[in-house]
Amino acid sequence: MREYLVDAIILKSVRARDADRIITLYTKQHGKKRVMAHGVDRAVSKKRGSVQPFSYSKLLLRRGREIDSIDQGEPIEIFQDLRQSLEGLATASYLAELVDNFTSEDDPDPVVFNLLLDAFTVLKGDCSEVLSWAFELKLLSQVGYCPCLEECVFCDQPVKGDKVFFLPEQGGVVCNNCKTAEVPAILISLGSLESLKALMRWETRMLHQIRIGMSAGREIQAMIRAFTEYHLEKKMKSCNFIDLLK
Amino acid sequence: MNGAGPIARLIDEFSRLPGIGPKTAQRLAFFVLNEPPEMAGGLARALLDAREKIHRCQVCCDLTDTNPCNICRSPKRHSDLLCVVEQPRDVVAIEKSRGFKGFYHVLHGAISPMSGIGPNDLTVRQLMERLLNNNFKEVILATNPNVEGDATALYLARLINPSGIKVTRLAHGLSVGASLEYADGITLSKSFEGRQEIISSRS
Repeated sequence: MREYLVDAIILKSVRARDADRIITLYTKQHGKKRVMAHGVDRAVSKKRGSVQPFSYSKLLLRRGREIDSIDQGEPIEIFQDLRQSLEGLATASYLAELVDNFTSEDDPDPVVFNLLLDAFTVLKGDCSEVLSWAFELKLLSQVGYCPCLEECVFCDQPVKGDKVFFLPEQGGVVCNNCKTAEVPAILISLGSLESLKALMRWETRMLHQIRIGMSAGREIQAMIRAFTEYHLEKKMKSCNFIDLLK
Repeated sequence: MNGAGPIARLIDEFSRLPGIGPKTAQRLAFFVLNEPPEMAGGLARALLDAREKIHRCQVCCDLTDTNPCNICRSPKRHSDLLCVVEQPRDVVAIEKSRGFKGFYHVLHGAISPMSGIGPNDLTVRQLMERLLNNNFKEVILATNPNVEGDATALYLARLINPSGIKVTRLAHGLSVGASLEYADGITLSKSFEGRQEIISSRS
């Protein structure tokens, strides 16, 4: 069969030649895919609505020699709430960039798909930060970089005291006794550590109930960003804009 | 054909243009060679002239050969209306419609967090200075109705709102001559949001 149907979340849309665009999708059936949307920038295009970034669509794809293309499309959900606030759009860009960076093509993962779908469903301007942290931790765990937050990564003993250290290179927390001055570490309070555990455990739709103070928020942000950048080996592009909005 | 000769160089230069592949570049090169030498001279002069004389208007940042541009100098324009667009070609499109008689400001792009394009890469600073030094009563954000355009409009509205200037955005929805049955969900929902009251002239 040259044509096949996918349920897809649109991650990115990049202008190609003329009115064509290269669309990056995360599909339920095939994982991440890059496809061509021909003529989608034309005013008469019927596919345009279904390939807008951060929307959930049913797409009929056609196999091509080098790249598959979109034959037909029908939007299922456009996530209107996230489009109405600057924080919502910035966070959606960040989440989409995370999925684009941490997944490979034609490697389906229903957990990642549902995680992104749930995040876009509840994403609004006011709870975007907490949602983004929880999403990032869960995504990293799912792709094989689960941070160790229960025991010290060196002595395997439960961490005690007011403060603990997070080592991005070791992928977990380290107790005061095992911490050496040479290794770069991020200081986090025990309260922030408990918040991190809650973020990983709680369902996406319940996350709006979590309240995190400003100083704990700064610690969590620094820890998650360092952890992501260590594994990604680069800075996320959307970070600059998110920082600008604070 | 000599791979490093003038013909190959001409083909190479043409193929650097957007939308021009190797075959089209070759066709353009041979077209230029088959025409009289004056045609090639005229083309070369036009290219150099445009590149040397066209620059950004110091007021609106549109591309122009005069400074300020013709629109910014015009006394017939409505001095209290400012339309913010992404690209110089958007000014051309709006001017063709003849529906707008205010001034313009060209951003030269749109905010795109995923591509790493932020407000500092656009002419936002010039826009804010212009709003501070003029008496505009309304700023119309004519950014494209896509994610980048939405982010840019929301960001500019956040910057401009505290100054008390009215900020509006172009209507979204069905295009003229469109049919409801072929409209997509996003367009239809935007059309419902932006619906307008019809008042009959006889009532």
